[in-house]
Amino acid sequence: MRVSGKGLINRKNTVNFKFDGANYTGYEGDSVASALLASGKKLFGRSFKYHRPRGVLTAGSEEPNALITVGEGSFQDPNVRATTQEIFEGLVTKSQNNWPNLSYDILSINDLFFHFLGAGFYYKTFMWPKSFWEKIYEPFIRRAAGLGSLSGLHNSDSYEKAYAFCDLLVIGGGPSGLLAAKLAAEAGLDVIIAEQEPIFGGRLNSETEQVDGMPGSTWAAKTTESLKFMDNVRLFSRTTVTGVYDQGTFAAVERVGHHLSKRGGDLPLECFWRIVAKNSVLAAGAIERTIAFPNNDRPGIMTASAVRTYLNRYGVSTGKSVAIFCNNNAAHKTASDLLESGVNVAAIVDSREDSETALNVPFYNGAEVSNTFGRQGLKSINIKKNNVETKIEVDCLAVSGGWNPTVHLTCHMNGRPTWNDEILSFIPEIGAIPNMAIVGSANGHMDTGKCFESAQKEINALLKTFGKSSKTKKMPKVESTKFEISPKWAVEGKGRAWLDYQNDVTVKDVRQSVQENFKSVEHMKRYTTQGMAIDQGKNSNVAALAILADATGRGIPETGTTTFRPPFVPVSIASMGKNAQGSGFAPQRFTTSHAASVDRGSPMIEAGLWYRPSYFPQVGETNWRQSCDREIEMVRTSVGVCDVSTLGKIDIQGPDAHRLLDFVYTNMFSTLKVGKVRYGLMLREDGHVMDDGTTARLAENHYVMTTTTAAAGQVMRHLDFVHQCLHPEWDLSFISVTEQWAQFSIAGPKSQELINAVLDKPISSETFPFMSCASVGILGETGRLFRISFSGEHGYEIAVPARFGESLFRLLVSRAEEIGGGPYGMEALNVLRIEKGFITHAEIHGRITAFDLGMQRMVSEKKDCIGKTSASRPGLLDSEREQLVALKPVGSVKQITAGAHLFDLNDEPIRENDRGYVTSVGFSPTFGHFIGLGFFKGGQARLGEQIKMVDHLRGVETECEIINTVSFDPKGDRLRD
Amino acid sequence: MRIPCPICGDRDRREFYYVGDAQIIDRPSPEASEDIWNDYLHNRDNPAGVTKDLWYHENGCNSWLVVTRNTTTHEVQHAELVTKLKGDGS
Amino acid sequence: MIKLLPKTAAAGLTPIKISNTTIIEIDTLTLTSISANKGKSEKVSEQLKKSHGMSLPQSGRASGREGARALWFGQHSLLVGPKCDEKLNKFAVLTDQSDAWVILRMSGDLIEDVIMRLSPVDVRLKTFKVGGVVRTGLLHVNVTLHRIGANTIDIYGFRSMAKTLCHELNQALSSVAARD
Repeated sequence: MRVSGKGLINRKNTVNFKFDGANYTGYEGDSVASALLASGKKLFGRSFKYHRPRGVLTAGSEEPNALITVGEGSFQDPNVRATTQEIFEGLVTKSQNNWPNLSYDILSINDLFFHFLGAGFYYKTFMWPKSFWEKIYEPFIRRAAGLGSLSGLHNSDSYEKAYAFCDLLVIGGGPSGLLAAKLAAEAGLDVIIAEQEPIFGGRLNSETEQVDGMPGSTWAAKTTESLKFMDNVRLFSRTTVTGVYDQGTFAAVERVGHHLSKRGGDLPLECFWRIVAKNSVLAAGAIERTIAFPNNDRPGIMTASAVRTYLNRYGVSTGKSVAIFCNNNAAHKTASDLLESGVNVAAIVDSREDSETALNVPFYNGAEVSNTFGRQGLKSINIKKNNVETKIEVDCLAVSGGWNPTVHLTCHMNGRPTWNDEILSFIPEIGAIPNMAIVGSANGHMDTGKCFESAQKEINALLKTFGKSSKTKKMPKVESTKFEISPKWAVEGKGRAWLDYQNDVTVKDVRQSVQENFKSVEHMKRYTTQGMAIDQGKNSNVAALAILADATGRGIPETGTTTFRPPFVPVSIASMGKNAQGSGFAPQRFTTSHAASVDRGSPMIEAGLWYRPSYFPQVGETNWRQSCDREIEMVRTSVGVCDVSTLGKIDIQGPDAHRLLDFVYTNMFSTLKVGKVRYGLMLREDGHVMDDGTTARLAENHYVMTTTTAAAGQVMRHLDFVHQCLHPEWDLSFISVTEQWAQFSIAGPKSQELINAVLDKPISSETFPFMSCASVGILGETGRLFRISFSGEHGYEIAVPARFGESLFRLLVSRAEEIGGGPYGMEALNVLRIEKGFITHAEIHGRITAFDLGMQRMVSEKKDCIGKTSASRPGLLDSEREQLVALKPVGSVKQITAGAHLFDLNDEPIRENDRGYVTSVGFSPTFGHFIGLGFFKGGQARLGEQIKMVDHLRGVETECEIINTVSFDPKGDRLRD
Repeated sequence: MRIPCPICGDRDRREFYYVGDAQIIDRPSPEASEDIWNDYLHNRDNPAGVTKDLWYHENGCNSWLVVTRNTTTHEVQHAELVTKLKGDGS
Repeated sequence: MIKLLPKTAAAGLTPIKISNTTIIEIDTLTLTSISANKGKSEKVSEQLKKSHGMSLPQSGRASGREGARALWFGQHSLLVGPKCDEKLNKFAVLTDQSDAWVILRMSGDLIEDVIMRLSPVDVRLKTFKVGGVVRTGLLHVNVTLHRIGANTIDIYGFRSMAKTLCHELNQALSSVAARD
């Protein structure tokens, strides 16, 4: 029911929304919970296990009961707390965990069987027969338990991630946080203040307290307004700081679009912030807890502070006749606030013997609420005093068992909260988070005056470290009341007394846990599920600990708390996963010939981050093998053009450049003549092959190294390591020129004819023999020419500045086509190199040595190099190591498959007999059969022998012969021609 | 986690490439004993406390750094350029 | 004679204009990497001043002005604008990098909001001042950011990643602009 004249809602703007299909109206500024309560709704959902009818317990993010599903279709968002979801025009919400509907829920039958469903019942009940688990128990439990569900559709919302930096992060925008931010900002610090509610002010918006002679909410609004005008302050509302990480890094989630009708466009639903703060102030406040008395979970029973929030912030009375049950004096405010608003207060039940009240209401000190009635909404309560029970009729019970400071963030780096006897709660361990000060009720200060004092004290100390001092001496004036509390955790009696409402954990469950010897707090949590799921036990954990302490005969401080871990409130995976879906998952790298290849209908395949043409289909070709075979034949008989720009290219210059090359390659480069190219093998320090490639000497002190596409980044890092960490004395410089040059391979008997069509000065085999390199003119532009080959044919690689890449590629291809050639793709390139036994990273997979490749002679005896010492270890030179071999099929089965394993001909194909595996395979149109490369134990000595290939996965078994790794043109005449 | 790069300043760990124990900047001579090479290649301390790691500021200045940090408190105490530790001969 | 036709790195990808913020490609500059020989930094700086009017930049800074600048580029410096004077060869290794980088110039009110969604660095004017150079990652792409004005940042990225770079910037800009 609305109370006139109360609340911070805007009564001029009505808002229409739906809950379970029915239309409701609220006001701008309402939460779903406040608007539904205003319309008299009590029942919000069903509990997790027993399907008990539940209402609203709180008015904040700690809400365990009122969980709803918001939105429809792909926008559906389950398990949203009705207490934090703001209403907007057209909002659609529904209740969860009930069937067929909220008021008549079939599975509430579980509630009758609670004797069998207590803590640990899963572990005991569903143990046998074993086969029942997967087929019967699990599907049943999944259907019976659980809260909201996902839509199963692709998420249509967009999200953001962002970084922010500041001198001071203030966590929480209540009285302490606002004052801390104001004092720090006035002194010139760069401040971010984060508040999870849409409005700043914290409890000031929920109380009738006066600050500086005005309502607290007005003071908060004015202070917020003044902060908005300061350049050095950023106010993040609807933003919850969810985690604390190393070196002053904080995670925070900002709800950008949850309160707006506009959904699904560019506007993000949430932004996941990483805030880096030199200092932080925790002003996260405190959360009220309840008391565990029999049947304390009925709709209409809520925390005393929530009753005040609904009254003072939302202008909603949570009942017609309200009783208060408490163990502290702060809860009495609830009675006075209700009375002022004309709501009937039926009783104050204060468990403290010596408590008193000046209010004109029925007052029961030294008493407790011993039972409640009303299944779908509270109807009456029993008050027990001096063993006499009195029944009174109420439709709302406001409960306060004290306050838990919000210590969670202080525990994210291993901090352990300490017990405070004065407020009967845990307070944060000071210093647990470097450079974090804790102020206000988060630090156990239970009145606003003390909160302000703590904020002022901490900010003054902080300002000193910046060499600054506070410009404001005057503190906001408030009336102080001392907080008084006595222990009252649970009320004994018939009926279940709930601790954790969301997980249906009762006092009895905790005691049973102790009986079964799950006595440590962490064991109790896992045995009972106390404090799990969405609310993480924000208002129930401390009471559960008290029950545990009592049951084990330990004190609460010795019992301790469970570990609080991030996130403080649920964070959507989608916000954390921003930038990791769709095209944001990985960057794409395109060669300059990309568009030209796509124009020709070439399917592009990924090579690391690069996209390269797979093959170039021609009219009439119906599958890739036809194109591939044609391209191979084209290269072998005419000429082919292929973009090889993706290979890493590193310019190395300086008087010590040759020293670096001699050190990182196994073979000599200082002896390489200017104008020549040499193949090099690079090892890791452990003696295994890292990469290979050619290096050209363009001038006395100028080399250009090529790396494989896959290892370009790794090699660059390696060179930086060698130069900076091992030989900083060398005078040299290197830089990646991969992006600077577009480079094309031109291979085939007609390659010289083609290359001369674009060179300013033609070359011949005499002037430019195999393994030559030079700077050349290419149609008036300066380029580079290398006579190298990865196909076994007379071939070149020609490089031009990347801006001319597309133009040169198109020109080379059209000229090639005029003489019977054309472009070739990765499939053909792969077969061409397999025919020649050239290796790639399929072979250089990290476990092979130069010896394994038959390249041990490339490890120069004349010098040291990275990996040389390790490569000479006996184990790496063993003749029974897996060595590079080539294979061809010789039996009736003609297929060789990559990944298949190799066995001796007569061995059974089992793991114990495994002698190797196939790494690369291609169908060679040149030879008319498959050729495979692979590794075989002692393979180099087995040339000409027959072995057996077995592909267990694909069910292929092929008899193979070990052949020379260089199948095609073994003497290399064509290369040198 | 943040690393105070001596050149770029305090930076997010996402910009860095992690290698492991900084001992690999002290490469033994080729003539050193098998034990020394074995230690260099394979054996690493795993201290609960202060440790020195090698990091590469890959998305930054491309410097190799020795970072001193505490594995129990997560405190990052210091970062130094390897070229400065070794002296670059200039 | 046939001539090779140049194509810029971000051809067809720019301009991007959302709200009052624009992204254009800067494509008319010569880029030369300058790496001083051991112990020759001062000589390089002097010669650079004589030839092109600016000293070698300090770490995290650029020197010179529009049309002829030198940017700190990590292990090297990058001369942006003029063709590099061959005299510098005496003291430094020079490498043509004119085609290696795509340069995107982002101008407008939202530039800081965009970069803070993509890069883990503080790009507010008080820390990333005019003339400042920051090398970092823009999501997965290595970039060098150069602030040439309060509302203008030049972004240097790998040429081959120009499309990804434009995509990420466009998406972040759209997202930021949608908040208004």
